[in-house]
Amino acid sequence: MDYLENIWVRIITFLRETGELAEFSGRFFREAFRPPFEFREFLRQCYQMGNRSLMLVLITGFIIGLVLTLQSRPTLIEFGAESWMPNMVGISIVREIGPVITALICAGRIASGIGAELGSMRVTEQIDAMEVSGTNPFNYLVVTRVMATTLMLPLLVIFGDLIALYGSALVEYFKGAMSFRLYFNSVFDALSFGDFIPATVKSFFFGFVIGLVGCYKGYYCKKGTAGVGKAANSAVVMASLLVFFVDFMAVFISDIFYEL
Amino acid sequence: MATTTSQYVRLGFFVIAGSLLLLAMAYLIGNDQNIFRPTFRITSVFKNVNGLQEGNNVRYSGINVGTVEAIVMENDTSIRVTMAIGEDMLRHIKGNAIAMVGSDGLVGSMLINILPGEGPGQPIRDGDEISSFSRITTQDMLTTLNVTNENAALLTEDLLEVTRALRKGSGVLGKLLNDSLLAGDLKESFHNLKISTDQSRQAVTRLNHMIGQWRLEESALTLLMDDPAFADQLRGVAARLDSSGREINDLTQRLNGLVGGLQDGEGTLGLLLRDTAMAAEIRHGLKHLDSGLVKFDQNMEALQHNFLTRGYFRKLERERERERRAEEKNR
Repeated sequence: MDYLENIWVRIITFLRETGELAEFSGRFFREAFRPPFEFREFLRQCYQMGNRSLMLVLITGFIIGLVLTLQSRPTLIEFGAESWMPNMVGISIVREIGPVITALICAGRIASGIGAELGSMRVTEQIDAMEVSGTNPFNYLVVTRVMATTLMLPLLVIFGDLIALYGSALVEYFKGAMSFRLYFNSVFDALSFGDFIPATVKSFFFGFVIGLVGCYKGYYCKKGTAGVGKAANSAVVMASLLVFFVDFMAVFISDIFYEL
Repeated sequence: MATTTSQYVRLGFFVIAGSLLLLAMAYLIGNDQNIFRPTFRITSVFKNVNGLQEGNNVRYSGINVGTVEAIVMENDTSIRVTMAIGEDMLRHIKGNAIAMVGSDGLVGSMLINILPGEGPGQPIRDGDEISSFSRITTQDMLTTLNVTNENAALLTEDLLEVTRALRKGSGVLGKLLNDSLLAGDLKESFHNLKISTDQSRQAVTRLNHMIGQWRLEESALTLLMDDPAFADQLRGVAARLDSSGREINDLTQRLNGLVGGLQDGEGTLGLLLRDTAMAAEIRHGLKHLDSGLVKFDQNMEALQHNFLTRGYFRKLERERERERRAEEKNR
């Protein structure tokens, strides 16, 4: 009986959180176009989320490119399709792996960071203090962060894609004696706007989801230090899950438009 | 936590670099699909496009020159494919070019290959239609392969029967394979053949050596073979020899007749040859003539010393002497 009750509670919690998140995102859109615009805070957040995450994204992307090529090579060689490596890796990275891996890294780094930061502010009643002093905490804390993640993630994805392709090209250069020029020619020959545009558009949504979930979890953090930790942790889990959900939706919609 | 100027600079660099990379990537992809360069359109009608899609590459003599822009079903047997080709190719593609649906490798995506037509042609213009060539489809190939397989099955069956017959030893080939005596004879025959061949080779070598020693350049045979005038002369000589031969033959026949007559004792000569009594009489007559001539010489000698005729003979000697002196003077 307790088991069923537990499931019921979880369902109710899930639905409540979904509703709260929807309300939170609605509030974001309302506040985003309402002055005052916290431009300096927005730029600071851009720097924190873009520049500070760049190295992590570059390293991860480079390794992903290397590993994907090294793992795929034996199979492609077995089929005598080694020359198709740039096409396969290029499409895989640009269409799916680059955006998703970058989004997951950012979900781990940014969402948890935002969750912890805003959670601490909530626990230490800084947010309450801002409300009392007449400053709009939502505008200052949430809108700037969500907009920063929304705009920075596509740029990070581009950097990640290119460094992953470079890593793959390095493997092909040293193991397959394929020149960089031929590699990148083959990649761009294989790619089309049907691959590039949906991937870029969904990167904006990934960034939006990561920022929104991080802010939501931190903004509604429960009191106590445990609440901060829980907010950071659940922000990562929820952001990662939503990234995959958005990815599924994006593939579904782009399939309709581009007939992939 | 305030943002410093260096952080702004780094952020600006990050945003600009990221945006430029985004644009560059879009440009490279779009450039490959002829989006950022002027294009012209040509069409071609196919019976079967084998899964060709909009956006597939168009190649001219193996170079990517454009993309498939539209595929429209005109009626139940013809499909019109519109291709967007880079304008820089306008002067290279002629009106007699042929479009063909192909694939990029064995597992590659479909594409259209435009092949140059034979002979000179008018340069193509925007909106022109070029002729198409439908390749053999996989289904056609499978049908042909099916027929080939059936034939192969029949051949295999026949081959199996032949092999069985061979193993049983029936027929000439079967005996050849199974009869050890025949095999021994054959082996011996081949051995003898080998010896004969060796000897023939040696004989030919000797003949070659002999011919090599002949001075063919200077021989009559070479003259006979190479000089047409000489051949004509020789032909004339042969003709004359033939005619002479016939005359000699006639003469011989006549002589044979004459000799036959002589042998039979016909005529004076035959009588002379055959009659021995007459020969004795002639021999006796000749003896008397000889003694008569001796006596005549004695009478003539006596006449030269006679005083009546001695003057005449002296006169003859004087004239001879005068003639001899005149000759010496002339020299």
